Amino acid sequence: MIALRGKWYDGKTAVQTDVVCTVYDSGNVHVEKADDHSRIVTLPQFAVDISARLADTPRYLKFPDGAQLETLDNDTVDQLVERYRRTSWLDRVHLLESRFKFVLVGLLFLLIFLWGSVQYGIPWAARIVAHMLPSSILNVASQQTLSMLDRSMLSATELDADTRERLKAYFQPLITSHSDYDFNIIFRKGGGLGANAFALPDGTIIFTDEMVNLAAHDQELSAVLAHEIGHVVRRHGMRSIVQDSLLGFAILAITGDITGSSELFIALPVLLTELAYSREFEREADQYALTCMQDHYIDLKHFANLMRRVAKEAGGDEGDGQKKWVNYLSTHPMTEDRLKAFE
Amino acid sequence: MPEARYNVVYRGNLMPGVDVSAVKSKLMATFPLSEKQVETILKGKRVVLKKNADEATAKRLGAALKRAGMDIVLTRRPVASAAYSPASSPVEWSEKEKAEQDSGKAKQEGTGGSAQADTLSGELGSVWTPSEIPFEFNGVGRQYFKIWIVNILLSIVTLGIYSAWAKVRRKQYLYGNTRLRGAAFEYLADPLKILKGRVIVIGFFLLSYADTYVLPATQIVFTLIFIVALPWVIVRTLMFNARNSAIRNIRFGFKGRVKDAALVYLWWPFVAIFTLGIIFPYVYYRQKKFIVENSTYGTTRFVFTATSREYYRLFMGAIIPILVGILAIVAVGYLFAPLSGVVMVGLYLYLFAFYAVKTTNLLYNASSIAHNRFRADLKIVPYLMLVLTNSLATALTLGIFSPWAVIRTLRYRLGHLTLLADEDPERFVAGQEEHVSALGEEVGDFFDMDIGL
Repeated sequence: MIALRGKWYDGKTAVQTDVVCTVYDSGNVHVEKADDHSRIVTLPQFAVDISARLADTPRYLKFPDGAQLETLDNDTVDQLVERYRRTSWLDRVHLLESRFKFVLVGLLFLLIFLWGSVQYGIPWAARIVAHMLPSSILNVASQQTLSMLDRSMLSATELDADTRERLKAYFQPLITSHSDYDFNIIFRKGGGLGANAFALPDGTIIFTDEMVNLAAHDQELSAVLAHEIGHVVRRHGMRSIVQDSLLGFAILAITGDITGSSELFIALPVLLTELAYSREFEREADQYALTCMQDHYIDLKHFANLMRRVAKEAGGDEGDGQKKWVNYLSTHPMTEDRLKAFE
Repeated sequence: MPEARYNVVYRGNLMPGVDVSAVKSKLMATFPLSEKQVETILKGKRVVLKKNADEATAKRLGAALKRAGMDIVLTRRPVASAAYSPASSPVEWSEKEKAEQDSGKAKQEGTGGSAQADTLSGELGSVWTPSEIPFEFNGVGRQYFKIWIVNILLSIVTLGIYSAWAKVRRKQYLYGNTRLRGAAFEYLADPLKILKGRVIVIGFFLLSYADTYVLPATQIVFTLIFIVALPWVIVRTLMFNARNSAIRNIRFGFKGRVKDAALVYLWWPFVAIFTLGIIFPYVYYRQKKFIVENSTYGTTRFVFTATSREYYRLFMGAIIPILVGILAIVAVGYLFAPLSGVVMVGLYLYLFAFYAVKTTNLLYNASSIAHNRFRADLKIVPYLMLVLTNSLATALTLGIFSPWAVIRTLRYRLGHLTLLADEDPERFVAGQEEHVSALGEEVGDFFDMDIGL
């Protein structure tokens, strides 16, 4: 005989009654009021559904007519389950949830999984997705980015037509050697962006006037072009979009609904990871530029020279080792680290 | 009106300046109790000493116990209904309550039931005020963490299939630890339904994604389908959540119509764009009104008494902190530029807490059901500190802290929510059974829509 106390709710009204439920060895079930022992329900067999255990939350014994008994006496309910019900697989889940040893192993597994996803899984998935994307999407995305840049930061170029034509002609060998791609070189005044160059996923490559003016030799600009071509060929634009959204999705899956925290702070680790991804892409593009320049017999020192000038222009006095941590907040690797390969 | 019944409750403390042994001997002298029984009663826990007594008996017994040095309070029982037996005679209470004490867990249940009931403050026998029933939240961060991590692991191992069960267990834990007058909230959603909903939603998005390859031009069709379906999705989400929430074996419900949802979630926001957001507080008010007034508990509807004026006042209240904050940012930026970022984050956090606290308070304070009202008294500064610590800890632990953050937040929010019951909570009656598929809810979930209360 197993007896337990609880609250009785008939399912039709919100009336709460303190009851004692007695289950006899035959499976016979009696429910009676706790105070005057008057009977509420008798079942000849144990035709009661029992909710699965979940930490110390109340359990529910659901009776055939829709009434239910709510109790906190989880241990007695477990005895009932053991005796009269097949244990559900959710009870095994409860076992997992209640042993701290499992939870620690789980935490370790989760951390390794997280690290593996961020380090390998997400970049791998993003590469596959980015290569599957049709060119129509690349075109639309690129046009939108360009018009956004034109509206906000860039303005019409102030370079004379001769310079532009000369550079375009000068770039021709590099461009023709990538006949699978549809490169389009354009010039804009960078304004606040200063000396810079960008590649859009569809093959549009933008040089700022400042970059052109900063270059002492056209070959320096070829080196930059090779780097930007690397971004396009390796599909960095699309990969970073896919990567960042996968990352956001993964963080959301872990943190779930975070009503009491502000997303601003949750965004911080995401941002740091995104910056790390961005630096990785820069390294890839540098690597690409390196081989490309060797193939075209461009002296590697041109890349290093221009990069140093750009860094100086931007006012960075990095490289003294003390500001290493700044590296983690940057979209590009530190200039000196990048340039080692080119010297 | 039938005569009210009372519980005599020992609050677990002695009156100030009273000695335990004196109380013991007085109790044994006044009542037919053994020393052991007295010791059990005085263990320092809240105990219901006498249930369901009439007013005169309760006052007499309460006064006698108070004279003995115990901190006694009378609580009003729900008005006598058929479910309750008449009071037993005063002499019996010792034996009866002892039985309840001995079965540890049962006692917890028993006291949970009525001890939280209407507290009669001040002197015994003073005038009744609407009884105040606090929401209790007993969730524990450590426990929730364990459930959370098993949820994530099983979801990874089953390639996402378990995520439907994970969602149900997560919610069941939070609901089951939320109690009101001895009854816990219950989350009843069927994980299989949630899983089906998720499969359909993911299918739809894969289809729309594949469409970008085949016929990029028809992409607009999917966007249109989504916009047109939005009100339906919102109604379904609210309905699914309500139908699967219950307390005292009676479910909540949602009776909003898709037509009205389209009005408040599509039409008015659309109009708001053209008024430069000036009618935004009105739109927000209409959305909350739509949710509250269409929610039901059993067959009874909730009532929403807030006015759009109150919502205008609420949002206007943010103007001064914004101006002060911007001034501070400019001033600090002028003196020492790097610090202005800190001030900016401070302003952001303040506004975040301001919004959460003010809208929650107004929403609950203006909602009622039958003659039961709510009182929410969240405060901005404590909530801000809560959000700040939660956010920092979650960011620093790469999300591992998030289960604790959830529990801490709920504890604060529910700790500042009270039901002001002016009526018998037992008069609510269950409605018709209706089954709602989880599809709408899963679409909403997919976009992380926050339309709940």
